[in-house]
Amino acid sequence: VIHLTHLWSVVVIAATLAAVALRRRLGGRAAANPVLLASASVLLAILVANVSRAHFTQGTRPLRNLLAPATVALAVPLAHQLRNGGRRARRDALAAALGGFFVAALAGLIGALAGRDVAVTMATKSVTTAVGVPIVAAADGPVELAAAAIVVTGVVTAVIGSAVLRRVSALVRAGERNARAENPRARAVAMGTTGHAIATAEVLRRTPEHGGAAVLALIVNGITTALWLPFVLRLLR
Amino acid sequence: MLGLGLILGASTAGRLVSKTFDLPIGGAPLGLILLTAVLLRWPALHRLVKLPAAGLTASLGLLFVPFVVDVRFRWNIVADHWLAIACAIAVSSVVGLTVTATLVDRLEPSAPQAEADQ
Repeated sequence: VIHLTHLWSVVVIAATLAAVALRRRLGGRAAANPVLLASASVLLAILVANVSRAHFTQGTRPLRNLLAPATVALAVPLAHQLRNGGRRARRDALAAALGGFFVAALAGLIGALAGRDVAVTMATKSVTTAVGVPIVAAADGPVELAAAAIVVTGVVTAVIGSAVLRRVSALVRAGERNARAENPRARAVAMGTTGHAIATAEVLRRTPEHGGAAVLALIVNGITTALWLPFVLRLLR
Repeated sequence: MLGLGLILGASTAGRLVSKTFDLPIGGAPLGLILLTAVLLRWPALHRLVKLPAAGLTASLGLLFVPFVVDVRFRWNIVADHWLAIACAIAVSSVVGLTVTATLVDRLEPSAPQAEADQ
Protein backbone atom coordinates (compact mmCIF):
# COMPACT_ATOMS: atom_id res chain seq x y z
CA VAL A 1 0.00 0.00 0.00
CA ILE A 2 1.30 3.45 -0.89
CA HIS A 3 0.85 6.00 1.88
CA LEU A 4 -0.04 9.41 0.49
CA THR A 5 0.85 11.34 3.62
CA HIS A 6 -0.63 14.71 2.74
CA LEU A 7 -3.39 13.58 0.41
CA TRP A 8 -6.11 15.18 2.55
CA SER A 9 -4.39 18.58 2.44
CA VAL A 10 -4.57 18.43 -1.35
CA VAL A 11 -8.25 17.40 -1.15
CA VAL A 12 -9.02 20.37 1.14
CA ILE A 13 -7.25 22.82 -1.19
CA ALA A 14 -9.01 21.38 -4.26
CA ALA A 15 -12.40 21.54 -2.50
CA THR A 16 -11.80 25.18 -1.50
CA LEU A 17 -10.75 26.18 -5.03
CA ALA A 18 -13.84 24.46 -6.43
CA ALA A 19 -16.03 26.24 -3.86
CA VAL A 20 -14.56 29.64 -4.80
CA ALA A 21 -15.23 28.91 -8.49
CA LEU A 22 -18.79 27.78 -7.70
CA ARG A 23 -19.56 30.98 -5.78
CA ARG A 24 -18.36 33.02 -8.76
CA ARG A 25 -20.72 30.99 -10.96
CA LEU A 26 -23.59 31.73 -8.56
CA GLY A 27 -23.02 35.46 -8.85
CA GLY A 28 -21.08 35.87 -5.60
CA ARG A 29 -23.87 35.09 -3.12
CA ALA A 30 -22.73 35.39 0.52
CA ALA A 31 -24.59 32.16 1.40
CA ALA A 32 -22.39 30.23 -1.03
CA ASN A 33 -19.45 30.71 1.34
CA PRO A 34 -16.34 28.82 0.15
CA VAL A 35 -15.29 27.71 3.66
CA LEU A 36 -18.78 26.31 4.30
CA LEU A 37 -19.05 24.60 0.89
CA ALA A 38 -15.52 23.18 1.07
CA SER A 39 -16.05 21.90 4.64
CA ALA A 40 -19.33 20.24 3.68
CA SER A 41 -17.81 18.49 0.66
CA VAL A 42 -14.67 17.31 2.54
CA LEU A 43 -16.93 16.08 5.36
CA LEU A 44 -18.94 14.10 2.84
CA ALA A 45 -15.71 12.71 1.34
CA ILE A 46 -14.34 11.44 4.68
CA LEU A 47 -17.73 9.86 5.46
CA VAL A 48 -17.83 8.08 2.11
CA ALA A 49 -14.17 7.02 2.29
CA ASN A 50 -14.62 6.08 5.97
CA VAL A 51 -11.41 7.86 6.96
CA SER A 52 -10.17 7.52 10.55
CA ARG A 53 -9.57 10.56 12.70
CA ALA A 54 -5.82 9.85 13.01
CA HIS A 55 -5.48 9.54 9.24
CA PHE A 56 -7.39 12.76 8.55
CA THR A 57 -5.44 14.70 11.18
CA GLN A 58 -2.12 13.43 9.80
CA GLY A 59 -3.16 14.20 6.23
CA THR A 60 -4.15 17.79 6.98
CA ARG A 61 -1.16 18.50 9.24
CA PRO A 62 0.53 21.01 6.87
CA LEU A 63 -2.62 23.15 6.72
CA ARG A 64 -3.24 22.89 10.47
CA ASN A 65 0.31 24.04 11.21
CA LEU A 66 -0.14 27.17 9.10
CA LEU A 67 -3.19 28.47 11.01
CA ALA A 68 -1.22 30.05 13.89
CA PRO A 69 1.30 31.94 11.67
CA ALA A 70 -1.57 33.09 9.39
CA THR A 71 -3.39 34.49 12.44
CA VAL A 72 -0.19 36.18 13.70
CA ALA A 73 0.14 37.76 10.23
CA LEU A 74 -3.06 39.75 10.98
CA ALA A 75 -0.72 41.98 13.03
CA VAL A 76 0.30 43.65 9.75
CA PRO A 77 -3.14 45.12 8.84
CA LEU A 78 -3.79 45.84 12.55
CA ALA A 79 -0.59 47.88 12.96
CA HIS A 80 -1.34 49.66 9.69
CA GLN A 81 -4.87 50.57 10.81
CA LEU A 82 -3.75 51.72 14.27
CA ARG A 83 -0.98 53.87 12.80
CA ASN A 84 -3.10 55.52 10.11
CA GLY A 85 -6.58 55.43 11.63
CA GLY A 86 -5.78 57.73 14.56
CA ARG A 87 -8.51 58.41 17.13
CA ARG A 88 -11.23 56.92 14.96
CA ALA A 89 -9.41 53.55 14.93
CA ARG A 90 -9.12 53.66 18.71
CA ARG A 91 -12.85 54.39 19.08
CA ASP A 92 -13.70 51.54 16.70
CA ALA A 93 -11.41 49.26 18.74
CA LEU A 94 -13.32 50.16 21.91
CA ALA A 95 -16.67 49.44 20.21
CA ALA A 96 -15.34 46.06 18.98
CA ALA A 97 -14.07 45.11 22.45
CA LEU A 98 -17.37 46.03 24.16
CA GLY A 99 -19.53 44.53 21.39
CA GLY A 100 -17.44 41.33 21.46
CA PHE A 101 -17.89 41.06 25.22
CA PHE A 102 -21.64 41.42 24.79
CA VAL A 103 -21.88 38.79 22.01
CA ALA A 104 -19.79 36.27 23.98
CA ALA A 105 -21.81 36.76 27.17
CA LEU A 106 -25.19 36.50 25.42
CA ALA A 107 -24.26 33.44 23.35
CA GLY A 108 -22.66 31.77 26.39
CA LEU A 109 -25.80 32.32 28.46
CA ILE A 110 -28.08 30.87 25.77
CA GLY A 111 -25.66 27.95 25.29
CA ALA A 112 -25.68 27.33 29.06
CA LEU A 113 -29.25 26.03 28.66
CA ALA A 114 -27.65 22.96 27.00
CA GLY A 115 -24.89 22.52 29.57
CA ARG A 116 -21.32 23.63 30.16
CA ASP A 117 -19.73 22.23 26.98
CA VAL A 118 -22.16 24.07 24.71
CA ALA A 119 -21.86 27.27 26.81
CA VAL A 120 -18.06 27.28 26.44
CA THR A 121 -18.19 26.85 22.65
CA MET A 122 -20.97 29.42 22.17
CA ALA A 123 -19.04 32.03 24.18
CA THR A 124 -16.05 31.66 21.84
CA LYS A 125 -17.87 31.36 18.51
CA SER A 126 -17.45 35.02 17.46
CA VAL A 127 -13.63 34.99 17.56
CA THR A 128 -11.45 33.65 14.79
CA THR A 129 -10.53 29.93 14.85
CA ALA A 130 -6.89 30.17 15.95
CA VAL A 131 -7.96 32.30 18.92
CA GLY A 132 -11.20 30.52 19.84
CA VAL A 133 -10.08 26.89 19.62
CA PRO A 134 -7.24 27.25 22.22
CA ILE A 135 -9.69 28.97 24.63
CA VAL A 136 -12.08 26.02 24.36
CA ALA A 137 -9.18 23.53 24.62
CA ALA A 138 -7.90 25.21 27.81
CA ALA A 139 -11.40 24.94 29.31
CA ASP A 140 -11.59 21.21 28.35
CA GLY A 141 -14.49 21.99 26.00
CA PRO A 142 -15.32 20.24 22.71
CA VAL A 143 -12.83 21.85 20.29
CA GLU A 144 -14.34 20.07 17.26
CA LEU A 145 -17.69 21.78 17.89
CA ALA A 146 -15.97 25.12 18.53
CA ALA A 147 -14.36 25.27 15.08
CA ALA A 148 -17.63 24.37 13.33
CA ALA A 149 -19.66 26.87 15.41
CA ILE A 150 -17.13 29.61 14.64
CA VAL A 151 -17.41 29.07 10.88
CA VAL A 152 -21.22 28.81 10.92
CA THR A 153 -21.37 32.07 12.92
CA GLY A 154 -19.09 33.77 10.40
CA VAL A 155 -21.25 32.63 7.48
CA VAL A 156 -24.53 33.60 9.22
CA THR A 157 -23.13 37.06 10.00
CA ALA A 158 -21.84 37.50 6.44
CA VAL A 159 -25.25 36.55 5.01
CA ILE A 160 -27.58 38.48 7.34
CA GLY A 161 -25.23 41.31 8.48
CA SER A 162 -26.05 44.02 5.96
CA ALA A 163 -29.79 43.31 5.93
CA VAL A 164 -30.10 43.30 9.74
CA LEU A 165 -28.17 46.54 10.14
CA ARG A 166 -30.08 48.30 7.36
CA ARG A 167 -33.37 47.36 9.01
CA VAL A 168 -32.16 48.45 12.45
CA SER A 169 -30.96 51.81 11.20
CA ALA A 170 -34.32 52.31 9.41
CA LEU A 171 -36.09 51.63 12.72
CA VAL A 172 -33.81 54.03 14.59
CA ARG A 173 -34.38 56.72 11.99
CA ALA A 174 -38.16 56.25 12.16
CA GLY A 175 -38.01 56.71 15.96
CA GLU A 176 -35.96 59.90 15.90
CA ARG A 177 -36.98 63.28 14.65
CA ASN A 178 -33.54 64.04 13.30
CA ALA A 179 -32.57 61.50 10.68
CA ARG A 180 -29.35 59.61 11.46
CA ALA A 181 -27.18 58.95 8.46
CA GLU A 182 -26.41 55.31 7.71
CA ASN A 183 -22.84 54.54 8.70
CA PRO A 184 -21.11 51.92 6.53
CA ARG A 185 -18.05 51.95 8.80
CA ALA A 186 -20.25 51.02 11.79
CA ARG A 187 -21.59 48.13 9.73
CA ALA A 188 -18.04 46.98 8.93
CA VAL A 189 -16.97 47.08 12.60
CA ALA A 190 -20.12 45.19 13.65
CA MET A 191 -19.54 42.49 11.04
CA GLY A 192 -15.87 42.06 11.97
CA THR A 193 -16.75 41.81 15.67
CA THR A 194 -19.63 39.33 15.33
CA GLY A 195 -18.49 37.31 12.31
CA HIS A 196 -14.65 37.44 12.54
CA ALA A 197 -12.57 36.57 9.44
CA ILE A 198 -15.43 35.20 7.33
CA ALA A 199 -17.69 38.25 7.68
CA THR A 200 -14.62 40.46 7.25
CA ALA A 201 -13.92 38.78 3.91
CA GLU A 202 -17.50 39.67 2.92
CA VAL A 203 -16.98 43.34 3.91
CA LEU A 204 -13.74 43.40 1.88
CA ARG A 205 -15.61 42.00 -1.13
CA ARG A 206 -18.56 44.43 -0.93
CA THR A 207 -17.07 47.66 0.49
CA PRO A 208 -13.26 47.38 0.28
CA GLU A 209 -12.84 50.95 1.57
CA HIS A 210 -14.18 49.84 4.97
CA GLY A 211 -12.24 46.54 5.05
CA GLY A 212 -9.63 48.03 7.39
CA ALA A 213 -12.30 48.82 10.03
CA ALA A 214 -13.62 45.22 9.87
CA VAL A 215 -10.10 43.78 10.13
CA LEU A 216 -9.42 46.00 13.15
CA ALA A 217 -12.67 44.83 14.80
CA LEU A 218 -11.99 41.14 14.17
CA ILE A 219 -8.50 41.34 15.65
CA VAL A 220 -9.41 43.52 18.63
CA ASN A 221 -12.35 41.25 19.53
CA GLY A 222 -10.07 38.19 19.17
CA ILE A 223 -7.35 39.63 21.40
CA THR A 224 -9.63 41.03 24.11
CA THR A 225 -11.74 37.85 24.24
CA ALA A 226 -8.54 35.77 24.48
CA LEU A 227 -7.54 37.91 27.45
CA TRP A 228 -10.74 37.84 29.54
CA LEU A 229 -12.78 34.75 28.60
CA PRO A 230 -10.30 32.03 29.75
CA PHE A 231 -10.29 33.47 33.25
CA VAL A 232 -14.09 33.61 33.43
CA LEU A 233 -14.27 29.99 32.22
CA ARG A 234 -11.70 28.97 34.84
CA LEU A 235 -13.88 30.48 37.56
CA LEU A 236 -16.93 28.60 36.28
CA ARG A 237 -15.18 25.22 36.23
CA MET B 1 12.44 35.78 3.71
CA LEU B 2 13.26 37.94 6.72
CA GLY B 3 9.60 38.99 6.92
CA LEU B 4 8.40 35.38 6.99
CA GLY B 5 11.01 34.74 9.70
CA LEU B 6 9.57 37.58 11.78
CA ILE B 7 6.03 36.18 11.51
CA LEU B 8 7.11 32.62 12.36
CA GLY B 9 9.33 34.00 15.13
CA ALA B 10 6.44 35.92 16.71
CA SER B 11 4.22 32.83 16.36
CA THR B 12 6.85 30.63 18.04
CA ALA B 13 7.47 33.18 20.80
CA GLY B 14 3.72 33.35 21.49
CA ARG B 15 3.51 29.57 21.73
CA LEU B 16 6.56 29.44 23.97
CA VAL B 17 5.08 31.98 26.41
CA SER B 18 1.69 30.22 26.36
CA LYS B 19 3.24 26.79 27.10
CA THR B 20 5.91 27.96 29.58
CA PHE B 21 3.45 29.76 31.84
CA ASP B 22 0.66 27.25 31.11
CA LEU B 23 -1.68 30.08 30.06
CA PRO B 24 -5.24 29.41 28.85
CA ILE B 25 -4.47 31.95 26.08
CA GLY B 26 -3.25 30.33 22.86
CA GLY B 27 0.07 31.13 21.21
CA ALA B 28 -1.55 32.82 18.19
CA PRO B 29 -3.12 35.83 19.99
CA LEU B 30 0.08 36.35 22.01
CA GLY B 31 2.21 36.24 18.84
CA LEU B 32 -0.25 38.64 17.20
CA ILE B 33 0.09 41.13 20.07
CA LEU B 34 3.89 40.78 19.99
CA LEU B 35 4.19 41.34 16.24
CA THR B 36 1.79 44.33 16.39
CA ALA B 37 3.92 45.91 19.12
CA VAL B 38 7.12 45.30 17.11
CA LEU B 39 5.57 46.83 13.96
CA LEU B 40 4.31 49.90 15.84
CA ARG B 41 7.74 50.38 17.47
CA TRP B 42 9.74 49.87 14.24
CA PRO B 43 7.49 50.95 11.30
CA ALA B 44 10.32 50.29 8.82
CA LEU B 45 9.76 46.55 9.29
CA HIS B 46 6.33 46.87 7.68
CA ARG B 47 7.92 46.69 4.23
CA LEU B 48 9.49 43.29 5.05
CA VAL B 49 6.40 41.56 6.48
CA LYS B 50 3.83 43.00 4.06
CA LEU B 51 4.17 40.40 1.32
CA PRO B 52 4.41 37.16 3.36
CA ALA B 53 1.59 38.42 5.63
CA ALA B 54 -0.69 39.07 2.66
CA GLY B 55 -0.05 35.53 1.36
CA LEU B 56 -0.84 33.95 4.74
CA THR B 57 -3.96 35.98 5.54
CA ALA B 58 -5.38 35.49 2.03
CA SER B 59 -5.55 31.73 2.66
CA LEU B 60 -6.93 32.02 6.21
CA GLY B 61 -10.34 30.64 5.18
CA LEU B 62 -8.78 27.54 3.62
CA LEU B 63 -6.91 26.81 6.86
CA PHE B 64 -10.21 26.69 8.81
CA VAL B 65 -11.54 23.77 6.75
CA PRO B 66 -9.72 20.83 8.47
CA PHE B 67 -10.82 22.10 11.90
CA VAL B 68 -14.46 22.39 10.78
CA VAL B 69 -14.44 18.88 9.30
CA ASP B 70 -13.27 17.56 12.70
CA VAL B 71 -16.84 18.08 13.94
CA ARG B 72 -17.61 14.75 12.24
CA PHE B 73 -15.68 13.07 15.09
CA ARG B 74 -17.88 14.77 17.70
CA TRP B 75 -21.22 14.60 15.94
CA ASN B 76 -23.15 13.42 19.04
CA ILE B 77 -22.95 16.82 20.75
CA VAL B 78 -24.43 18.54 17.67
CA ALA B 79 -27.21 15.93 17.43
CA ASP B 80 -28.06 16.37 21.12
CA HIS B 81 -27.98 20.17 21.34
CA TRP B 82 -28.58 21.54 17.84
CA LEU B 83 -31.52 23.69 18.90
CA ALA B 84 -29.63 25.52 21.67
CA ILE B 85 -26.64 25.94 19.33
CA ALA B 86 -28.79 27.37 16.52
CA CYS B 87 -30.58 29.76 18.91
CA ALA B 88 -27.32 30.95 20.49
CA ILE B 89 -25.77 31.66 17.08
CA ALA B 90 -28.85 33.34 15.56
CA VAL B 91 -29.86 35.50 18.55
CA SER B 92 -26.35 36.59 19.53
CA SER B 93 -25.45 37.44 15.92
CA VAL B 94 -28.48 39.68 15.35
CA VAL B 95 -28.23 41.39 18.76
CA GLY B 96 -24.41 41.59 18.60
CA LEU B 97 -24.43 43.24 15.18
CA THR B 98 -26.97 45.81 16.39
CA VAL B 99 -25.17 46.58 19.65
CA THR B 100 -21.74 46.94 18.02
CA ALA B 101 -22.96 49.16 15.16
CA THR B 102 -24.83 51.34 17.66
CA LEU B 103 -21.68 51.63 19.81
CA VAL B 104 -19.64 52.83 16.81
CA ASP B 105 -22.34 55.40 16.01
CA ARG B 106 -22.60 56.69 19.57
CA LEU B 107 -18.84 56.93 20.09
CA GLU B 108 -18.57 59.14 17.00
CA PRO B 109 -18.15 62.74 18.20
CA SER B 110 -19.27 64.29 14.91
CA ALA B 111 -22.41 62.15 14.57
CA PRO B 112 -25.58 63.91 13.34
CA GLN B 113 -26.92 63.32 16.85
CA ALA B 114 -24.27 65.65 18.32
CA GLU B 115 -25.27 68.39 15.90
CA ALA B 116 -28.94 67.86 16.68
CA ASP B 117 -28.23 68.28 20.39
CA GLN B 118 -26.79 71.75 19.94
